[in-house]
Amino acid sequence: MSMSGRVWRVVTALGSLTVVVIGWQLLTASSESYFFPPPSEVFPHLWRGHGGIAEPPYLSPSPSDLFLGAGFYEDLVPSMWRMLRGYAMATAVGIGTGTALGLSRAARQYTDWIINFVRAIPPPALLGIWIVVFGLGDGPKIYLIAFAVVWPILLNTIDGVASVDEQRKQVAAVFKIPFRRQLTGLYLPSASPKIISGMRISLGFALIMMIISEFAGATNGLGFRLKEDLSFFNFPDLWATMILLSAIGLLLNGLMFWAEARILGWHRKASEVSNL
Amino acid sequence: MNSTALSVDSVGHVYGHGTAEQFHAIGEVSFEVDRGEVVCIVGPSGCGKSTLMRIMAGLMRPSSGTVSVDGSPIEGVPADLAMVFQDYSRSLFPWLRVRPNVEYPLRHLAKAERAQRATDALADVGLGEHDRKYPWELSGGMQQRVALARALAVQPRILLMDEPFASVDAQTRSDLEDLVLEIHAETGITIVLVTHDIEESVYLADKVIALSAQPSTVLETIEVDLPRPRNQLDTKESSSFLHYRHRAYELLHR
Ligand SMILES: Nc1ncnc2c1ncn2[C@@H]1O[C@H](COP(=O)(O)OP(=O)(O)O)[C@@H](O)[C@H]1O
Ligand SMILES: [Mg+2]
Repeated sequence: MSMSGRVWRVVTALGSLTVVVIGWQLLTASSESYFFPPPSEVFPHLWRGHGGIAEPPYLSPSPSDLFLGAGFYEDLVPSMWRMLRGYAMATAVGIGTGTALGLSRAARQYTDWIINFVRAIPPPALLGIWIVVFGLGDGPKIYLIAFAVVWPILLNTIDGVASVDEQRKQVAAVFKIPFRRQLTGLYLPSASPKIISGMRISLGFALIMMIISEFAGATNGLGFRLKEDLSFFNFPDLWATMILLSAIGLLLNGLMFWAEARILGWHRKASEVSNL
Repeated sequence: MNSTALSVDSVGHVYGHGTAEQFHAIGEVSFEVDRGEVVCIVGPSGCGKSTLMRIMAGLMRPSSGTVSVDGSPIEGVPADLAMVFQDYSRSLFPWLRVRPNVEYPLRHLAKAERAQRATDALADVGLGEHDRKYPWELSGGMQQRVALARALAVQPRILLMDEPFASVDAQTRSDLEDLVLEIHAETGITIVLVTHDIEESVYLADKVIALSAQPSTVLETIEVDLPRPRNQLDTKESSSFLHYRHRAYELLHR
Protein backbone atom coordinates (compact mmCIF):
# COMPACT_ATOMS: atom_id res chain seq x y z
CA MET A 1 0.00 0.00 0.00
CA SER A 2 1.24 3.48 -0.81
CA MET A 3 2.17 5.95 1.91
CA SER A 4 -0.71 8.29 1.11
CA GLY A 5 -3.07 5.28 1.07
CA ARG A 6 -1.94 4.37 4.54
CA VAL A 7 -2.33 7.94 5.81
CA TRP A 8 -5.78 8.07 4.29
CA ARG A 9 -6.78 4.86 6.06
CA VAL A 10 -5.66 6.23 9.44
CA VAL A 11 -7.52 9.48 8.78
CA THR A 12 -10.77 7.71 7.87
CA ALA A 13 -10.46 5.37 10.87
CA LEU A 14 -9.89 8.27 13.27
CA GLY A 15 -12.74 10.19 11.63
CA SER A 16 -15.26 7.41 12.05
CA LEU A 17 -14.02 6.77 15.60
CA THR A 18 -14.64 10.41 16.48
CA VAL A 19 -18.15 10.24 15.04
CA VAL A 20 -18.90 7.08 17.04
CA VAL A 21 -17.63 8.57 20.31
CA ILE A 22 -19.60 11.77 19.73
CA GLY A 23 -22.71 9.74 18.92
CA TRP A 24 -22.14 7.65 22.02
CA GLN A 25 -21.76 10.84 24.09
CA LEU A 26 -24.93 12.41 22.67
CA LEU A 27 -27.02 9.26 23.13
CA THR A 28 -25.88 8.47 26.68
CA ALA A 29 -25.75 12.05 27.97
CA SER A 30 -29.39 12.59 27.07
CA SER A 31 -30.50 9.29 28.60
CA GLU A 32 -30.86 8.80 32.30
CA SER A 33 -29.77 5.16 32.14
CA TYR A 34 -27.46 4.23 34.96
CA PHE A 35 -26.00 1.34 32.93
CA PHE A 36 -24.71 3.46 30.09
CA PRO A 37 -22.67 6.37 31.41
CA PRO A 38 -21.47 8.82 28.75
CA PRO A 39 -17.87 8.48 27.51
CA SER A 40 -17.02 11.81 29.15
CA GLU A 41 -17.58 10.01 32.43
CA VAL A 42 -16.08 6.64 31.39
CA PHE A 43 -12.77 7.73 29.91
CA PRO A 44 -11.45 9.56 33.01
CA HIS A 45 -11.81 6.26 34.88
CA LEU A 46 -8.95 4.97 32.74
CA TRP A 47 -6.42 7.33 34.31
CA ARG A 48 -7.88 8.99 37.42
CA GLY A 49 -8.67 7.45 40.81
CA HIS A 50 -12.26 8.05 41.95
CA GLY A 51 -12.21 6.63 45.49
CA GLY A 52 -15.07 4.70 47.10
CA ILE A 53 -16.04 1.62 45.10
CA ALA A 54 -13.99 2.82 42.09
CA GLU A 55 -11.15 0.59 40.91
CA PRO A 56 -7.53 1.75 40.69
CA PRO A 57 -7.05 3.26 37.20
CA TYR A 58 -4.94 1.56 34.54
CA LEU A 59 -3.12 4.72 33.56
CA SER A 60 -1.72 7.69 35.38
CA PRO A 61 -1.43 11.34 34.34
CA SER A 62 1.98 11.51 35.98
CA PRO A 63 5.16 11.04 33.90
CA SER A 64 7.00 9.88 37.04
CA ASP A 65 4.72 6.79 37.04
CA LEU A 66 5.57 6.29 33.35
CA PHE A 67 1.85 7.04 32.87
CA LEU A 68 0.96 3.67 34.38
CA GLY A 69 -1.54 3.37 37.21
CA ALA A 70 -2.06 0.80 39.97
CA GLY A 71 -4.66 -1.05 37.90
CA PHE A 72 -2.00 -1.74 35.30
CA TYR A 73 0.15 -3.65 37.76
CA GLU A 74 -2.61 -5.19 39.85
CA ASP A 75 -4.99 -6.34 37.12
CA LEU A 76 -3.81 -5.81 33.57
CA VAL A 77 -0.36 -7.39 33.96
CA PRO A 78 -1.57 -10.49 35.84
CA SER A 79 -4.30 -11.00 33.22
CA MET A 80 -1.97 -10.65 30.27
CA TRP A 81 0.60 -12.88 31.93
CA ARG A 82 -1.99 -15.64 32.39
CA MET A 83 -3.15 -15.23 28.84
CA LEU A 84 0.38 -15.30 27.49
CA ARG A 85 1.27 -18.46 29.40
CA GLY A 86 -1.95 -20.18 28.38
CA TYR A 87 -1.43 -19.19 24.75
CA ALA A 88 2.22 -20.27 24.81
CA MET A 89 1.23 -23.62 26.28
CA ALA A 90 -1.46 -24.08 23.63
CA THR A 91 1.01 -23.16 20.89
CA ALA A 92 3.66 -25.57 22.14
CA VAL A 93 1.23 -28.44 22.67
CA GLY A 94 -0.68 -27.68 19.47
CA ILE A 95 2.34 -27.53 17.20
CA GLY A 96 4.11 -30.44 18.92
CA THR A 97 1.17 -32.81 18.97
CA GLY A 98 -0.08 -31.57 15.61
CA THR A 99 3.26 -32.30 13.97
CA ALA A 100 3.38 -35.80 15.42
CA LEU A 101 -0.17 -36.54 14.28
CA GLY A 102 0.36 -34.86 10.92
CA LEU A 103 3.28 -37.16 10.21
CA SER A 104 1.40 -40.38 10.88
CA ARG A 105 -1.78 -41.34 9.12
CA ALA A 106 -2.30 -44.19 11.57
CA ALA A 107 -1.98 -41.87 14.58
CA ARG A 108 -4.51 -39.54 12.98
CA GLN A 109 -6.98 -42.34 12.47
CA TYR A 110 -6.70 -43.45 16.09
CA THR A 111 -6.94 -39.98 17.59
CA ASP A 112 -9.37 -38.29 15.24
CA TRP A 113 -12.49 -39.19 17.21
CA ILE A 114 -10.83 -38.45 20.57
CA ILE A 115 -9.90 -34.98 19.41
CA ASN A 116 -13.41 -34.32 18.15
CA PHE A 117 -14.88 -35.62 21.39
CA VAL A 118 -12.69 -33.56 23.72
CA ARG A 119 -12.89 -30.49 21.53
CA ALA A 120 -16.68 -30.53 21.81
CA ILE A 121 -16.54 -29.77 25.56
CA PRO A 122 -17.33 -26.07 26.09
CA PRO A 123 -14.26 -24.90 28.04
CA PRO A 124 -16.13 -22.71 30.56
CA ALA A 125 -17.98 -25.84 31.67
CA LEU A 126 -14.65 -27.08 32.98
CA LEU A 127 -13.82 -23.98 35.01
CA GLY A 128 -15.48 -25.12 38.24
CA ILE A 129 -13.96 -28.59 38.30
CA TRP A 130 -10.52 -27.25 37.39
CA ILE A 131 -10.60 -24.84 40.29
CA VAL A 132 -11.45 -27.76 42.56
CA VAL A 133 -8.64 -29.85 41.09
CA PHE A 134 -5.93 -27.27 40.52
CA GLY A 135 -6.77 -24.77 43.25
CA LEU A 136 -7.26 -21.02 43.14
CA GLY A 137 -3.90 -19.92 41.74
CA ASP A 138 -3.02 -19.10 38.17
CA GLY A 139 -2.83 -22.80 37.24
CA PRO A 140 -6.47 -23.54 36.45
CA LYS A 141 -6.85 -20.27 34.54
CA ILE A 142 -3.81 -20.96 32.38
CA TYR A 143 -4.88 -24.55 31.74
CA LEU A 144 -8.35 -23.38 30.86
CA ILE A 145 -7.04 -20.86 28.35
CA ALA A 146 -4.66 -23.42 26.89
CA PHE A 147 -7.36 -26.08 26.68
CA ALA A 148 -9.77 -23.72 24.96
CA VAL A 149 -7.42 -22.26 22.38
CA VAL A 150 -5.27 -25.27 21.49
CA TRP A 151 -7.72 -26.66 18.93
CA PRO A 152 -7.29 -24.29 15.99
CA ILE A 153 -3.50 -24.58 16.34
CA LEU A 154 -3.61 -28.35 16.70
CA LEU A 155 -5.99 -28.99 13.81
CA ASN A 156 -4.25 -26.56 11.47
CA THR A 157 -0.85 -28.03 12.29
CA ILE A 158 -2.11 -31.55 11.61
CA ASP A 159 -3.58 -30.40 8.32
CA GLY A 160 -0.48 -28.44 7.34
CA VAL A 161 2.00 -31.17 8.16
CA ALA A 162 -0.14 -33.90 6.58
CA SER A 163 -0.46 -32.00 3.32
CA VAL A 164 3.22 -31.38 2.65
CA ASP A 165 3.81 -31.91 -1.04
CA GLU A 166 4.72 -35.47 -1.98
CA GLN A 167 7.41 -34.42 -4.42
CA ARG A 168 9.11 -32.18 -1.84
CA LYS A 169 9.23 -35.16 0.51
CA GLN A 170 10.94 -37.11 -2.25
CA VAL A 171 13.42 -34.26 -2.68
CA ALA A 172 14.29 -34.51 1.02
CA ALA A 173 14.61 -38.29 0.76
CA VAL A 174 16.78 -38.24 -2.36
CA PHE A 175 19.15 -35.76 -0.75
CA LYS A 176 19.21 -37.84 2.43
CA ILE A 177 18.15 -35.01 4.70
CA PRO A 178 18.08 -36.31 8.31
CA PHE A 179 14.60 -36.49 9.78
CA ARG A 180 15.11 -33.64 12.26
CA ARG A 181 16.20 -31.34 9.48
CA GLN A 182 13.25 -32.43 7.39
CA LEU A 183 11.05 -31.30 10.28
CA THR A 184 12.61 -27.87 10.60
CA GLY A 185 13.49 -27.39 6.95
CA LEU A 186 10.50 -28.89 5.16
CA TYR A 187 7.50 -29.88 7.27
CA LEU A 188 7.25 -26.86 9.56
CA PRO A 189 7.97 -24.16 6.95
CA SER A 190 5.60 -25.87 4.55
CA ALA A 191 2.88 -26.01 7.21
CA SER A 192 3.62 -22.55 8.59
CA PRO A 193 0.88 -20.68 6.70
CA LYS A 194 -1.73 -23.00 8.20
CA ILE A 195 -0.11 -23.07 11.64
CA ILE A 196 0.02 -19.29 11.82
CA SER A 197 -3.55 -18.92 10.68
CA GLY A 198 -4.51 -21.26 13.54
CA MET A 199 -2.44 -19.17 15.94
CA ARG A 200 -4.23 -16.04 14.78
CA ILE A 201 -7.65 -17.54 15.48
CA SER A 202 -6.45 -18.79 18.86
CA LEU A 203 -5.05 -15.45 19.93
CA GLY A 204 -8.42 -13.71 19.73
CA PHE A 205 -9.95 -16.65 21.51
CA ALA A 206 -7.32 -16.53 24.27
CA LEU A 207 -8.38 -13.00 25.19
CA ILE A 208 -11.98 -14.15 25.63
CA MET A 209 -10.94 -17.17 27.68
CA MET A 210 -8.68 -15.06 29.87
CA ILE A 211 -11.69 -12.96 30.91
CA ILE A 212 -13.90 -15.98 31.47
CA SER A 213 -11.22 -17.77 33.51
CA GLU A 214 -11.12 -14.84 35.93
CA PHE A 215 -14.86 -14.82 36.57
CA ALA A 216 -14.43 -17.44 39.28
CA GLY A 217 -11.68 -18.17 41.79
CA ALA A 218 -9.75 -14.98 40.99
CA THR A 219 -8.73 -12.06 43.20
CA ASN A 220 -7.36 -9.83 40.47
CA GLY A 221 -7.35 -9.47 36.70
CA LEU A 222 -9.56 -7.81 34.12
CA GLY A 223 -12.21 -10.51 34.27
CA PHE A 224 -12.30 -10.26 38.07
CA ARG A 225 -12.75 -6.49 37.80
CA LEU A 226 -15.59 -6.80 35.33
CA LYS A 227 -17.38 -9.15 37.72
CA GLU A 228 -16.76 -6.86 40.71
CA ASP A 229 -17.85 -3.75 38.82
CA LEU A 230 -21.05 -5.46 37.82
CA SER A 231 -21.87 -6.60 41.33
CA PHE A 232 -21.19 -3.12 42.75
CA PHE A 233 -23.05 -1.40 39.92
CA ASN A 234 -19.80 0.41 39.09
CA PHE A 235 -20.62 1.00 35.43
CA PRO A 236 -18.07 3.68 34.53
CA ASP A 237 -15.25 1.33 35.52
CA LEU A 238 -16.93 -1.57 33.76
CA TRP A 239 -17.02 0.36 30.51
CA ALA A 240 -13.46 1.63 31.02
CA THR A 241 -12.28 -2.00 31.16
CA MET A 242 -14.29 -2.80 28.03
CA ILE A 243 -12.52 0.00 26.19
CA LEU A 244 -9.18 -1.29 27.43
CA LEU A 245 -10.03 -4.82 26.28
CA SER A 246 -10.92 -3.70 22.81
CA ALA A 247 -7.67 -1.73 22.62
CA ILE A 248 -5.76 -4.88 23.68
CA GLY A 249 -7.61 -6.89 21.04
CA LEU A 250 -6.63 -4.39 18.38
CA LEU A 251 -3.03 -4.35 19.55
CA LEU A 252 -2.75 -8.15 19.53
CA ASN A 253 -4.26 -8.29 16.08
CA GLY A 254 -1.75 -5.73 14.88
CA LEU A 255 1.14 -7.68 16.40
CA MET A 256 -0.09 -10.87 14.77
CA PHE A 257 -0.43 -9.11 11.44
CA TRP A 258 3.11 -7.78 11.73
CA ALA A 259 4.55 -11.17 12.70
CA GLU A 260 2.65 -12.86 9.89
CA ALA A 261 3.93 -10.39 7.31
CA ARG A 262 7.49 -11.05 8.50
CA ILE A 263 7.29 -14.84 8.71
CA LEU A 264 5.00 -15.48 5.76
CA GLY A 265 6.15 -12.80 3.33
CA TRP A 266 7.33 -15.53 0.96
CA HIS A 267 3.95 -17.23 1.07
CA ARG A 268 1.88 -14.19 0.24
CA LYS A 269 4.11 -13.18 -2.65
CA ALA A 270 4.52 -16.72 -3.95
CA SER A 271 0.75 -17.22 -3.91
CA GLU A 272 0.40 -14.16 -6.09
CA VAL A 273 2.48 -15.69 -8.88
CA SER A 274 1.35 -19.32 -8.60
CA ASN A 275 -0.68 -21.70 -6.53
CA LEU A 276 2.57 -23.07 -5.06
CA MET B 1 37.01 -52.94 -13.48
CA ASN B 2 33.31 -53.25 -14.17
CA SER B 3 32.17 -50.14 -16.03
CA THR B 4 28.48 -50.56 -15.24
CA ALA B 5 27.30 -47.72 -13.01
CA LEU B 6 23.70 -48.75 -12.65
CA SER B 7 21.79 -51.81 -13.69
CA VAL B 8 18.07 -52.38 -13.76
CA ASP B 9 17.33 -56.06 -13.55
CA SER B 10 13.88 -57.45 -14.44
CA VAL B 11 12.14 -54.61 -12.60
CA GLY B 12 8.37 -54.80 -12.55
CA HIS B 13 5.86 -52.80 -10.59
CA VAL B 14 2.23 -53.19 -9.68
CA TYR B 15 0.52 -50.37 -7.79
CA GLY B 16 -1.99 -51.38 -5.12
CA HIS B 17 -1.29 -55.07 -5.48
CA GLY B 18 -4.31 -57.20 -4.55
CA THR B 19 -6.69 -54.24 -4.29
CA ALA B 20 -9.55 -53.39 -6.60
CA GLU B 21 -7.52 -50.54 -8.12
CA GLN B 22 -4.52 -52.77 -8.80
CA PHE B 23 -2.52 -51.25 -11.65
CA HIS B 24 0.27 -52.96 -13.53
CA ALA B 25 2.58 -50.07 -14.40
CA ILE B 26 5.89 -51.74 -15.26
CA GLY B 27 5.91 -55.18 -16.86
CA GLU B 28 9.54 -56.19 -16.93
CA VAL B 29 12.35 -53.79 -17.62
CA SER B 30 16.09 -54.50 -17.75
CA PHE B 31 18.95 -52.33 -18.93
CA GLU B 32 22.39 -51.19 -17.92
CA VAL B 33 23.92 -47.76 -17.67
CA ASP B 34 27.68 -47.52 -18.09
CA ARG B 35 29.80 -45.05 -16.17
CA GLY B 36 29.79 -41.60 -17.74
CA GLU B 37 27.01 -42.53 -20.13
CA VAL B 38 23.90 -40.52 -20.92
CA VAL B 39 20.91 -42.82 -21.14
CA CYS B 40 17.50 -41.53 -22.16
CA ILE B 41 14.31 -43.38 -21.41
CA VAL B 42 11.43 -42.63 -23.75
CA GLY B 43 7.96 -43.98 -23.68
CA PRO B 44 4.34 -42.95 -23.93
CA SER B 45 2.90 -40.97 -21.05
CA GLY B 46 1.63 -43.18 -18.24
CA CYS B 47 3.95 -46.06 -19.11
CA GLY B 48 5.70 -45.89 -15.75
CA LYS B 49 8.75 -43.73 -16.49
CA SER B 50 8.44 -41.73 -13.27
CA THR B 51 7.77 -44.91 -11.37
CA LEU B 52 10.94 -46.43 -12.80
CA MET B 53 12.86 -43.28 -11.83
CA ARG B 54 11.64 -43.44 -8.24
CA ILE B 55 12.65 -47.09 -8.12
CA MET B 56 16.12 -46.32 -9.47
CA ALA B 57 16.47 -43.51 -6.94
CA GLY B 58 15.66 -45.94 -4.14
CA LEU B 59 12.56 -43.94 -3.20
CA MET B 60 10.34 -46.99 -3.59
CA ARG B 61 10.79 -50.72 -3.87
CA PRO B 62 9.77 -52.44 -7.06
CA SER B 63 7.26 -55.30 -6.89
CA SER B 64 9.88 -57.48 -8.55
CA GLY B 65 13.44 -57.25 -9.76
CA THR B 66 16.40 -55.28 -8.48
CA VAL B 67 18.34 -52.13 -9.15
CA SER B 68 22.08 -52.28 -8.55
CA VAL B 69 24.61 -49.51 -8.28
CA ASP B 70 28.24 -50.54 -8.81
CA GLY B 71 27.13 -54.15 -8.74
CA SER B 72 25.37 -54.18 -5.38
CA PRO B 73 21.57 -54.09 -5.05
CA ILE B 74 20.39 -50.78 -3.57
CA GLU B 75 18.79 -50.44 -0.14
CA GLY B 76 17.19 -47.01 -0.10
CA VAL B 77 18.69 -44.04 -1.87
CA PRO B 78 22.19 -44.91 -3.12
CA ALA B 79 25.14 -42.74 -2.17
CA ASP B 80 26.31 -40.22 -4.76
CA LEU B 81 22.96 -40.06 -6.49
CA ALA B 82 20.96 -36.91 -7.15
CA MET B 83 17.73 -36.26 -8.92
CA VAL B 84 15.99 -33.47 -10.80
CA PHE B 85 12.24 -33.74 -10.62
CA GLN B 86 9.70 -33.07 -13.31
CA ASP B 87 7.71 -30.36 -11.57
CA TYR B 88 10.21 -27.65 -10.64
CA SER B 89 7.61 -25.51 -8.88
CA ARG B 90 6.97 -28.31 -6.40
CA SER B 91 10.58 -29.34 -6.16
CA LEU B 92 12.19 -26.15 -4.86
CA PHE B 93 11.32 -24.73 -1.44
CA PRO B 94 9.44 -21.45 -1.88
CA TRP B 95 10.34 -20.27 1.64
CA LEU B 96 14.05 -20.30 0.80
CA ARG B 97 15.98 -18.08 -1.55
CA VAL B 98 17.88 -19.63 -4.43
CA ARG B 99 21.19 -20.05 -2.59
CA PRO B 100 19.80 -21.76 0.53
CA ASN B 101 17.74 -23.98 -1.77
CA VAL B 102 20.96 -25.13 -3.42
CA GLU B 103 22.73 -25.44 -0.07
CA TYR B 104 19.88 -27.34 1.55
CA PRO B 105 21.31 -30.83 0.85
CA LEU B 106 24.81 -29.71 1.91
CA ARG B 107 24.26 -29.11 5.60
CA HIS B 108 26.74 -31.80 6.58
CA LEU B 109 29.54 -29.74 5.03
CA ALA B 110 31.45 -26.84 6.60
CA LYS B 111 29.95 -23.47 5.88
CA ALA B 112 32.67 -22.23 3.55
CA GLU B 113 32.65 -25.46 1.54
CA ARG B 114 28.88 -25.29 1.29
CA ALA B 115 28.95 -21.73 0.03
CA GLN B 116 31.68 -22.54 -2.48
CA ARG B 117 29.77 -25.51 -3.88
CA ALA B 118 26.59 -23.47 -4.23
CA THR B 119 28.47 -20.64 -5.92
CA ASP B 120 30.07 -23.06 -8.38
CA ALA B 121 26.87 -24.94 -9.12
CA LEU B 122 24.91 -21.73 -9.67
CA ALA B 123 27.64 -20.42 -11.94
CA ASP B 124 27.58 -23.71 -13.88
CA VAL B 125 23.90 -23.31 -14.64
CA GLY B 126 24.30 -19.60 -15.40
CA LEU B 127 22.46 -18.28 -12.36
CA GLY B 128 25.33 -16.73 -10.40
CA GLU B 129 23.52 -13.40 -10.38
CA HIS B 130 20.24 -14.66 -9.04
CA ASP B 131 21.22 -16.39 -5.83
CA ARG B 132 19.34 -13.92 -3.61
CA LYS B 133 16.03 -14.27 -5.41
CA TYR B 134 13.20 -16.53 -4.40
CA PRO B 135 12.41 -19.43 -6.77
CA TRP B 136 8.97 -18.04 -7.55
CA GLU B 137 10.57 -14.82 -8.75
CA LEU B 138 12.25 -16.79 -11.56
CA SER B 139 10.94 -18.14 -14.86
CA GLY B 140 10.25 -21.86 -15.21
CA GLY B 141 13.48 -22.50 -17.08
CA MET B 142 15.48 -20.67 -14.41
CA GLN B 143 13.76 -22.60 -11.63
CA GLN B 144 14.70 -25.85 -13.33
CA ARG B 145 18.29 -24.57 -13.52
CA VAL B 146 18.19 -24.01 -9.75
CA ALA B 147 16.98 -27.58 -9.28
CA LEU B 148 19.81 -28.75 -11.52
CA ALA B 149 22.31 -26.68 -9.52
CA ARG B 150 21.00 -28.18 -6.29
CA ALA B 151 21.57 -31.66 -7.71
CA LEU B 152 25.04 -30.81 -9.05
CA ALA B 153 26.14 -29.22 -5.78
CA VAL B 154 26.08 -32.59 -4.03
CA GLN B 155 28.63 -33.73 -6.67
CA PRO B 156 26.79 -36.94 -7.50
CA ARG B 157 28.18 -39.68 -9.69
CA ILE B 158 24.71 -40.53 -10.96
CA LEU B 159 22.17 -37.90 -11.95
CA LEU B 160 18.57 -38.90 -12.57
CA MET B 161 16.32 -36.47 -14.37
CA ASP B 162 12.58 -37.03 -14.75
CA GLU B 163 11.21 -35.10 -17.72
CA PRO B 164 13.22 -32.12 -16.57
CA PHE B 165 12.30 -29.89 -19.50
CA ALA B 166 8.72 -30.96 -20.11
CA SER B 167 7.17 -27.73 -18.94
CA VAL B 168 9.43 -25.05 -20.36
CA ASP B 169 9.17 -23.33 -23.74
CA ALA B 170 11.03 -24.66 -26.79
CA GLN B 171 13.79 -22.04 -26.77
CA THR B 172 14.56 -22.56 -23.07
CA ARG B 173 14.36 -26.26 -23.61
CA SER B 174 17.11 -26.43 -26.19
CA ASP B 175 19.27 -24.15 -23.99
CA LEU B 176 18.79 -26.52 -21.08
CA GLU B 177 19.58 -29.55 -23.25
CA ASP B 178 22.86 -27.95 -24.23
CA LEU B 179 23.53 -27.10 -20.60
CA VAL B 180 23.15 -30.78 -19.67
CA LEU B 181 25.52 -31.80 -22.47
CA GLU B 182 28.05 -29.21 -21.31
CA ILE B 183 27.90 -30.39 -17.71
CA HIS B 184 28.20 -33.97 -18.84
CA ALA B 185 31.26 -33.16 -20.94
CA GLU B 186 32.88 -31.32 -18.03
CA THR B 187 32.11 -33.72 -15.20
CA GLY B 188 31.71 -37.07 -16.91
CA ILE B 189 28.73 -37.70 -14.65
CA THR B 190 26.42 -40.63 -15.41
CA ILE B 191 23.02 -39.34 -16.47
CA VAL B 192 19.68 -41.12 -16.80
CA LEU B 193 17.07 -38.81 -18.26
CA VAL B 194 13.42 -39.52 -18.87
CA THR B 195 11.63 -37.73 -21.66
CA HIS B 196 8.68 -38.23 -23.93
CA ASP B 197 10.41 -36.20 -26.62
CA ILE B 198 12.09 -38.52 -29.15
CA GLU B 199 14.26 -35.81 -30.65
CA GLU B 200 15.53 -34.78 -27.23
CA SER B 201 16.37 -38.35 -26.33
CA VAL B 202 18.45 -38.92 -29.46
CA TYR B 203 20.15 -35.54 -29.16
CA LEU B 204 21.30 -36.16 -25.59
CA ALA B 205 21.84 -39.89 -25.33
CA ASP B 206 24.49 -42.49 -25.85
CA LYS B 207 21.69 -44.98 -25.52
CA VAL B 208 17.94 -44.56 -25.93
CA ILE B 209 15.72 -47.03 -24.15
CA ALA B 210 12.31 -47.16 -25.73
CA LEU B 211 9.54 -48.39 -23.46
CA SER B 212 6.18 -49.75 -24.50
CA ALA B 213 2.86 -48.64 -23.07
CA GLN B 214 2.03 -50.07 -19.63
CA PRO B 215 2.73 -52.64 -18.38
CA SER B 216 5.95 -51.40 -19.91
CA THR B 217 8.77 -53.48 -21.34
CA VAL B 218 11.89 -52.42 -23.21
CA LEU B 219 10.97 -52.33 -26.90
CA GLU B 220 14.50 -51.72 -28.04
CA THR B 221 17.73 -50.15 -26.90
CA ILE B 222 19.09 -47.80 -29.55
CA GLU B 223 22.83 -47.20 -29.37
CA VAL B 224 23.25 -43.60 -30.50
CA ASP B 225 26.62 -43.26 -32.13
CA LEU B 226 26.70 -39.52 -32.76
CA PRO B 227 29.92 -37.59 -32.22
CA ARG B 228 30.31 -35.23 -29.26
CA PRO B 229 30.32 -32.35 -28.71
CA ARG B 230 26.90 -32.09 -30.26
CA ASN B 231 25.01 -28.96 -31.20
CA GLN B 232 21.46 -28.14 -32.03
CA LEU B 233 22.08 -27.46 -35.73
CA ASP B 234 24.78 -29.81 -37.03
CA THR B 235 23.86 -32.77 -34.91
CA LYS B 236 20.16 -32.52 -35.60
CA GLU B 237 20.73 -32.06 -39.35
CA SER B 238 23.05 -35.03 -39.69
CA SER B 239 21.73 -38.08 -41.49
CA SER B 240 22.61 -40.42 -38.61
CA PHE B 241 20.57 -38.25 -36.23
CA LEU B 242 17.60 -38.52 -38.55
CA HIS B 243 18.14 -42.23 -38.80
CA TYR B 244 18.04 -42.71 -35.00
CA ARG B 245 15.10 -40.40 -34.71
CA HIS B 246 13.29 -42.36 -37.41
CA ARG B 247 13.92 -45.63 -35.60
CA ALA B 248 12.76 -44.33 -32.24
CA TYR B 249 9.67 -42.83 -33.81
CA GLU B 250 8.79 -46.13 -35.47
CA LEU B 251 9.14 -47.96 -32.19
CA LEU B 252 6.94 -45.61 -30.22
CA HIS B 253 4.25 -45.06 -32.81
CA ARG B 254 3.60 -48.44 -34.20
N1 LIG C 1 1.05 -43.87 -6.33
C1 LIG C 1 0.37 -44.45 -7.36
N2 LIG C 1 -0.68 -45.26 -7.09
C2 LIG C 1 -1.36 -45.85 -8.11
N3 LIG C 1 -1.09 -45.67 -9.41
C3 LIG C 1 -0.06 -44.86 -9.72
C4 LIG C 1 0.70 -44.20 -8.72
N4 LIG C 1 1.65 -43.46 -9.34
C5 LIG C 1 1.47 -43.65 -10.66
N5 LIG C 1 0.44 -44.49 -10.89
C6 LIG C 1 -0.02 -44.94 -12.20
O1 LIG C 1 1.02 -45.65 -12.81
C7 LIG C 1 1.12 -45.31 -14.16
C8 LIG C 1 2.52 -44.86 -14.48
O2 LIG C 1 2.74 -43.63 -13.84
P1 LIG C 1 4.08 -42.81 -14.07
O3 LIG C 1 5.22 -43.63 -13.61
O4 LIG C 1 3.91 -41.49 -13.45
O5 LIG C 1 4.09 -42.69 -15.66
P2 LIG C 1 4.90 -41.70 -16.61
O6 LIG C 1 5.91 -40.98 -15.79
O7 LIG C 1 5.51 -42.58 -17.64
O8 LIG C 1 3.90 -40.78 -17.23
C9 LIG C 1 0.10 -44.23 -14.44
O9 LIG C 1 -1.00 -44.80 -15.10
C10 LIG C 1 -0.30 -43.76 -13.09
O10 LIG C 1 -1.68 -43.42 -13.06
MG1 LIG D 1 6.26 -38.95 -15.38
